[in-house]
Amino acid sequence: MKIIAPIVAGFFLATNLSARAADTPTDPQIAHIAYTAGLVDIGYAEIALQRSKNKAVREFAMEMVKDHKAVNDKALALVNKLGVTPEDNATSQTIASQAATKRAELKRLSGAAFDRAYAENEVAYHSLVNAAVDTQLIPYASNGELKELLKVGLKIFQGHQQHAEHMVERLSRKHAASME
Amino acid sequence: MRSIALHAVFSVLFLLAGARFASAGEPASVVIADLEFKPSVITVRIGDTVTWINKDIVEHTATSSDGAFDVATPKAKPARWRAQKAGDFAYYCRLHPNMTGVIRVTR
Ligand SMILES: [Cu+2]
Repeated sequence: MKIIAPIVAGFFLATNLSARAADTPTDPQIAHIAYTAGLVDIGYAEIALQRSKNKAVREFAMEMVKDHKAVNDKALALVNKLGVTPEDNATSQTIASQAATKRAELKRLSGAAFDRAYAENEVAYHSLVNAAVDTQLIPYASNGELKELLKVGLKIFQGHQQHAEHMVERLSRKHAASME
Repeated sequence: MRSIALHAVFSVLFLLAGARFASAGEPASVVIADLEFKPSVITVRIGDTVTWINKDIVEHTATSSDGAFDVATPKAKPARWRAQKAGDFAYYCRLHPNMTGVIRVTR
């Protein structure tokens, strides 16, 4: 049941995000959505760094903090340069409120159960964000530099998703071995 | 006769230029930009040093699939590995496994 929860939560968020596709986001909204999505993953990583003792999980979480901070810093520098003020919007709010629920869920877990839930959520969350960046943010970004940053960001986040998938595989092999 | 000789010389030069060979000990560079190893396939000789120059905003690694090397490639600081045996070394970034490359080490 605990394994199913992040997938269901992920799907729910995906449904909400695609419902927003009807109204096309503006650059200030796109910047806000991308920045919020990065902050959310940093938030998950901070929980992992507080709770996990697994070396691979901790290294992954540290990478998430560093990479998402690097992309967000770059995004902030760009909006400052362009004189754009990121604008809060329904998609950002959905991402933030879904994340609050997920954080509460993760904080109730510990040990191997936490590690698996965190790793699975990282796969689900990145796949969701990547789909949104690819199909909703990049196509509607009108500023060329913002579009380029989103494209590089997408490659970084796709890398994170694959890395998270490897982590899930290793954790479930370890789990299977401990059950024998 | 003379033109044939010239042609031969140019052919050899062309082959040398195209083959991306460095003579032993010479540096061979791979630039990392936008999450790509460029060039993705590089040929060096045993004894050569491969240098990765990371121009991205995030850190990467150059990690061979068979465990021959695992090099951290921080931002703005060149990272190096010296080829010691012949073979094709497929490698990837451990942090972003969507990044892949090959180092072809020849005798
Ligand atoms: Cu990488």
